Amino acid sequence: MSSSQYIDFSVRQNKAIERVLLFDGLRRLMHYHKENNYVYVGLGSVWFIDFDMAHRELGIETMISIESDEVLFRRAQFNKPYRTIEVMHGKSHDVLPELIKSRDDILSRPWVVWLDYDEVLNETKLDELSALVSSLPGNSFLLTTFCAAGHRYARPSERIDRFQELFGDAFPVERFKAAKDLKDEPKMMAALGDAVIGYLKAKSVEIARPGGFIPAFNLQYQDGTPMATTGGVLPDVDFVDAVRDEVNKADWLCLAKRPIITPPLTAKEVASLRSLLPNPSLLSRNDVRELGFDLMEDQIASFVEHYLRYPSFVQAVR
Amino acid sequence: MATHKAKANPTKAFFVRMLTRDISLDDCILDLVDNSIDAAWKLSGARPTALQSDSSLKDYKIDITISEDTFSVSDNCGGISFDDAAKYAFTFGRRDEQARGDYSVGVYGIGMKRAVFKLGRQIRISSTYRVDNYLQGFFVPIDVKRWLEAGDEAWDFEIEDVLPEDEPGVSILVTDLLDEVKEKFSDPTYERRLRRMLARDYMIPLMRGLQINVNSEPVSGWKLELRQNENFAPMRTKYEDERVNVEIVAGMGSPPPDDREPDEEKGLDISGWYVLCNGRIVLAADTTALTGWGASLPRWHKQYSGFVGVVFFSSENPELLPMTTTKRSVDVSSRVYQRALARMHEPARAWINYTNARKQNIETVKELEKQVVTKEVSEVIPRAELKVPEVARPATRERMANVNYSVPLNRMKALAAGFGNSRMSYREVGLESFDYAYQELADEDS
Repeated sequence: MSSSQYIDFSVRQNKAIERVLLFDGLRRLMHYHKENNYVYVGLGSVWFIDFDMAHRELGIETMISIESDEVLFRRAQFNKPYRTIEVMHGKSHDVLPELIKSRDDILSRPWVVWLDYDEVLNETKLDELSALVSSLPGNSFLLTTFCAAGHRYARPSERIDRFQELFGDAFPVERFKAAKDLKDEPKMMAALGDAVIGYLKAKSVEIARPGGFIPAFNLQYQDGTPMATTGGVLPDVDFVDAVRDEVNKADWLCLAKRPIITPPLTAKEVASLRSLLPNPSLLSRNDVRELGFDLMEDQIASFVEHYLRYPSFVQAVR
Repeated sequence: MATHKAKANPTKAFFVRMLTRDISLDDCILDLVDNSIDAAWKLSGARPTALQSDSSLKDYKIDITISEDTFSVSDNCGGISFDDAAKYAFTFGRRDEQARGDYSVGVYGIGMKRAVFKLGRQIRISSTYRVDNYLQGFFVPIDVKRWLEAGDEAWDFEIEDVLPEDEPGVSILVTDLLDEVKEKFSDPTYERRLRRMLARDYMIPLMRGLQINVNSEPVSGWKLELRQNENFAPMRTKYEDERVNVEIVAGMGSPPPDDREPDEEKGLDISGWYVLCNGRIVLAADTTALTGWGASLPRWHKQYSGFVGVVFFSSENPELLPMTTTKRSVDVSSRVYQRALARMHEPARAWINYTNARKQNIETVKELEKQVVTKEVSEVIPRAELKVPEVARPATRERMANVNYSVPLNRMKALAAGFGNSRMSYREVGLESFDYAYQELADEDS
């Protein structure tokens, strides 16, 4: 079952933070090519949150959403927020190659492709990503989000084998020498993110794509299930240096070292935490207790890192 | 009649562009490692003449670092002396008067130059060496662009003095890497591939205690293992042929596969022949005509998977060894090799016959293949022939039906996991699910 059937995407706070980071990153890199008439391709479901941001924040008009479920496809057509969104019916691994083959109108323009799966990666999805590395127009962005929970891939005793089977040498197997490493969730999320980055990079080297693939996005977040978003740029040769410089800057936040794991907070909690920020020293658990409530250390650290992006949700109608 | 001369001098550009064209980046790196290992054997006094496991190279270490900007390899294997550097180490091609015959793999005197030219344009080769009880050092800087511009008369490189390092050894640093090298080194899968290649190609020196590190992480040597039980036993035989020692070991690396589909092959198949020359693997997991498959033996078929053979050639004089200049293949015109090939066919033929017979009675042989113990090739006990069981044809005349169908890979994997083993072959999943459905729907006893 797809998650569109049971949860409104908009209330997952860490997903919301990830989306803000990602669109900030895209905007910074697109700034170099303002004249480019980008095409946005995604899996908009019935919510179209990323499409709304692509249009509002990046000014993209040509947008394509892919939906395989018959009912959701009809609902997506009904719900699409802008006239210029085209909803296509089918699986992305079938629809995208067709688009690339048949649509001359958009092939001369760079694309932003965000395959935001809520499932585990498998051979079919990696084939799809690898085909996009070979075929997307120059200066395109390729992003994917996937489930990064180890137990959803294989049983503990078979997990590393499965990852090696799936990613080959791109999986950083040397980080999992002890059995306890398998249970370390942030470590597993980071390893899967790096595996996808490595996989895409290796593909671009294998086909000697001019300009190559430059990793620019590697974020992990968790609202319940651990998830990872990874991707990068497939720049034309003359764009390579600019991209490399931008993603190497200290304030480039999309190649994150720590997962986004803020807790769901009440409006009152958010407001009181914010009243202590910004703060040159890190907030401690004691500081939070002094405010009159309590949080885990890693939750506090994550909130401090993302407090300006932390969304506020209000129930409008009861 | 006046005699005129046609100019036939080589040009520097020839060495930089031509020589590097015929060799891969990987092989260049291996060439540099070969030099270090040759030096380690020499200094230790040990010899790569037998498949054995010990600690005779435990004091020697090779460090390789790769990054997008630099490549380096350094060792503590004795260093190049100033005299050797001045006379031999930097000449293009080995001089005839240069001493040889030390169980090395370097023959032509071209590896280091070719390798560094393939990698980059700024090179610094440093050496610390022992004179009596003192350490001395020098380094040779090579700026390839300037060297080329200096014209085809000036071939020599400068040698400059430098303070010695703590231990005698050679260190090669390459910067200003070529674009294609940068690109390769930026691929995170490259480092893991390189590590695996080193683990395999140098399994003999690693087995004998040598340390190799890539970006500070140690490489652990590959273990080539053969299986045996009361029904199966590998062969191991040794002989000398024209001053070359030859040792052949062959047997069951893993049980033959059950009709796996081509897309079911997982990871690296280790089956095939491994040819080693003075401890260096020059051919790995080979299943081509080079080792007789498709020539005097039938063409390799996945049915033969599981067969593993090792042929180990060693000689004091590396020129006698059947390897090519890139050390990446065998010289099939070598008579020593041709005679070895005839002997290699015996175990291969026995295996082919076994896997043919095996198909007739798969259930029985699976029992026979169980309860095996694995032995590293170095531990295999000498035995003239490969031992495999005699397989009798089962006595049934029941008519059979063959089934063949496709399902999405995801569902196949999920069902295998449902049966409790996600590594199950497609065939086994098919049979299990048939049995399962049969019991539910058709079995009259249930």
